[in-house]
Amino acid sequence: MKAVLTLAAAFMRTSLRERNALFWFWLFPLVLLGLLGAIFGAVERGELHVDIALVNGDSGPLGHELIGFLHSVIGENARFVYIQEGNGEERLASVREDVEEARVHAALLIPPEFSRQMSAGIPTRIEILYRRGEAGSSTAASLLAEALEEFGRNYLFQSGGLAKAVEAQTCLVGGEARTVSYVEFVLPGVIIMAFFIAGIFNVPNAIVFAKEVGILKRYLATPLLSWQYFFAFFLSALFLSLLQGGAVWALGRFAFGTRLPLLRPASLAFLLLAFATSVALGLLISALAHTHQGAMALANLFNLPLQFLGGLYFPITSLPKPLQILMAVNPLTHLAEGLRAALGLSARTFPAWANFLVPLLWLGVSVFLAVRRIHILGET
Amino acid sequence: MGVNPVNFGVPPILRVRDLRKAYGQILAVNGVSFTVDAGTIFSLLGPNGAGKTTTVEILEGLRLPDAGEIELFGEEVQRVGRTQKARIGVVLQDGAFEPLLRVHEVLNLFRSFFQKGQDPAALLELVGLADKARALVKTLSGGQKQRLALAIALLNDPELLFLDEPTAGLDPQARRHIWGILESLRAQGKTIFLTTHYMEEAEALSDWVCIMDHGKIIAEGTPRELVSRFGPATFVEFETPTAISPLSTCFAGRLRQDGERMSLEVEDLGRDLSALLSWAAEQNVPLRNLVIRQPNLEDVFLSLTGRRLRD
Repeated sequence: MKAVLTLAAAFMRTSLRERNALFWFWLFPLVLLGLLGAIFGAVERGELHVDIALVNGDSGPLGHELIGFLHSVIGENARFVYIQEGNGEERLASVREDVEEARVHAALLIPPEFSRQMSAGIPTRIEILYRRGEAGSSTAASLLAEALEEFGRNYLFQSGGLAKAVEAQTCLVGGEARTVSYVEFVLPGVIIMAFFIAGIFNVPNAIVFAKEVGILKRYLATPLLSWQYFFAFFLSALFLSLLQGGAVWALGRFAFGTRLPLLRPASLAFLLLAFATSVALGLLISALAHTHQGAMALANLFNLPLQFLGGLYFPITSLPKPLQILMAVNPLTHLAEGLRAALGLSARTFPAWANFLVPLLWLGVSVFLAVRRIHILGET
Repeated sequence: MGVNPVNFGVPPILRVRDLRKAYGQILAVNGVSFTVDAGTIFSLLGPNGAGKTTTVEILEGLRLPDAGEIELFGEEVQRVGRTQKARIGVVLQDGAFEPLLRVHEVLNLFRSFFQKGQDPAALLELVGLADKARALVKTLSGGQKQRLALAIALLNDPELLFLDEPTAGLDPQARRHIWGILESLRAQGKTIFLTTHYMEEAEALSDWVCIMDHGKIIAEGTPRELVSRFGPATFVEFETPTAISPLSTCFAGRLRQDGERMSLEVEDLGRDLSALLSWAAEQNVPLRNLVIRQPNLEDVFLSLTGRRLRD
C-alpha cells in the first residue's frame, strides 16, 4: 500500500508541475465558469423545467379552475407529474414523501373548502411543499406562488372583491423561494467538462507517454505490479478531480452565490460515475493509440462532438432529430442531466435510469475494449 | 556452452538453458544458454538486433520466454516474478524516469517499491549526484541520468545487477566514472550482468563474455581467451592516399579499408611487414601513421560474423 500511495503522490506532483495540464485541467474550467458567469450571470433560467404534483381536495369548481389556470400560466415551464383528487391523510403523506424524495420539485395542495371559502370572500391558504435549499425546488415553489397570486388577482377582479383572495403558504422552507441562475445551470456542466477533459487527455497523456519513453517499463522491472500502477494512477486522478470539482463549486458559491448541494449522495454518485466514465474513455484511448501524438488526436476526436452535444453549457432541447439521437447516446448529456437533477436544478429530459445506464454502458464497453487491447510493454 | 571458471565450485547465481523467444515469425532469442557466477561481471555482447535486450528483459521479468529454463538465485523459475525482482537491480537501455519529479523524489518513490534497501542519500553520494538531489529529472544531462538510473538500480541492495547499455551515448569521462562504480560493486561481491556494444568496456570490465548474434550465443569465454581463440594474429594499420588495388592482390582477403585508413591482418608479422614495406618502397607509396596492433574483441566479433559490432 505504501508503494501505491507514494506512486499516487508522485502522479499528483507531476500533474501539478506540468504547465499545460495546469492551465487546461485546472485553470481552464475556472476561467470558463468565470467567463460564462460574467457574461450570462444575470440571466435567470426561467425556461428551466420543473416537476410539480397537484392535489385537489376541493369538491367545488374553483379547484379545477385553478388547475386549469396553472396549466395555462406555468405549463411551459412545469410538468404536472400527477393531479390527484381528494384529500385523505394517506394521499397527503404520499405527496409529501414524493417531494422529500425528490420525485417532484414541489407539490400544491388545494384545501377541501377552497371553492366555498373563495365564494364567501374568505381568504384561503394554499400549501406549497418544496425542498429546503434546493434551487430547482425553490423555482417550482416560486412559480406556483406567483401563479396563485395571479389567480387571486384575477378572481378579485372578476368578483369585485377587495381582500386578498388566495395566500400561498410554503412548507419545508429553507430560505426565500428563488429562480435558478444561469451559473447554477452551467456549473454542473463545467464540473463534468473538467472531469471529462482530465479523463480523456490526462490519462492517455500520462500512460502513453510513460509507455513510450520507458517509464512504465522501469516501474515494472521492480516488484510493483501493473494493477498497482494503474490503481495509484486512478487514485491520484480521483483526488485531483474531486479537488477540481470542489474548486469550481467554490468559485460558483463565493463569486456567484450559487447554492448547490454537491455532497448529497446522489450528486456524489454522479460525480463518481462521471469520473469513472471519463477515465475509462481515457484508458480506451491509451489502448488504441500507439504514440503520444496519436493519443492526443484521438482524444480530440472524442472531445469535440461529445462536449458540444452534451448540453454542458446551454440546454439543447430543440436540436434536429439526428443530433437528438447523438445527444441521447452521448454520456455527457446524461452525466450533466443526472448531476443537475441530483442537485435539484431541472426536470429530466431522459428517465433517471437512462442517465445512469448510458454512462455505465460507455464505462463498461471502454474498460472491456481497453483491457483487451492494451499492451503495457508493447509486447504482443 | 563453455564453463565459466571464475568462481568454479560456487553455485551460479543465474543459469539459462535453451532460452527462446519469437515475435511473430522473427526468432529474437534462439536457444540461448549460459551461466553467470556470483561476484563476477558477465558481459553479453552483440550488435543491435542480436537479441541481447530481449534476453535481458526476460531475465528482468519484463517479458515471458516461449521456452527454456531459468535458474535464478538457485531456484528454477518459469518467469521472473516479484520475489526475484526484489533481489535484482536494473538499468534499462530504454528506461526513463518521470521528468517532472525531483531526483530525491524518484529515489524515494522507487525505494517504496522494496521491503528493504539502502539509504537514497548515500546512493546519490556514491554516484556523485548529491548536489542534484533537488533538481528535476528533466534538467539532468545524459550522464547524470545514467548515474541516477544506476543509483535506483542499487536501491534494494541487489545481489544481481542487470545493466543494459549503461554507458550508451556517454562521453569517455562519464563512461569511466561508471566503470569505476561497477568495479567497486564487484569488489563488494555484487554480480553484474552487462550488455554492451562497447568492446573496450567489455574488455576492461568483464570476467566472462558471451557474444550473441542472430539470437544465438556464437562464442564465450574470458576476454583474453576469446581473443586468443578467435582473434587474428596481429594487425598492421596505416594510412595511404594512393590506390591500393595492387596491394589488395598481394594480401588478398586480409586487407580492409576504412576511408584512407588501411588495416592488414598478418599471420607472420616479420614476413608480411617486410613485404608491405618493400612494396611501398617499390611503388613509392607513402605509409602514414603505421601502427602494429594486437587484436581485440571487436576483431573477434568481426572474424566470427564478418560484421562490425556497431554496424
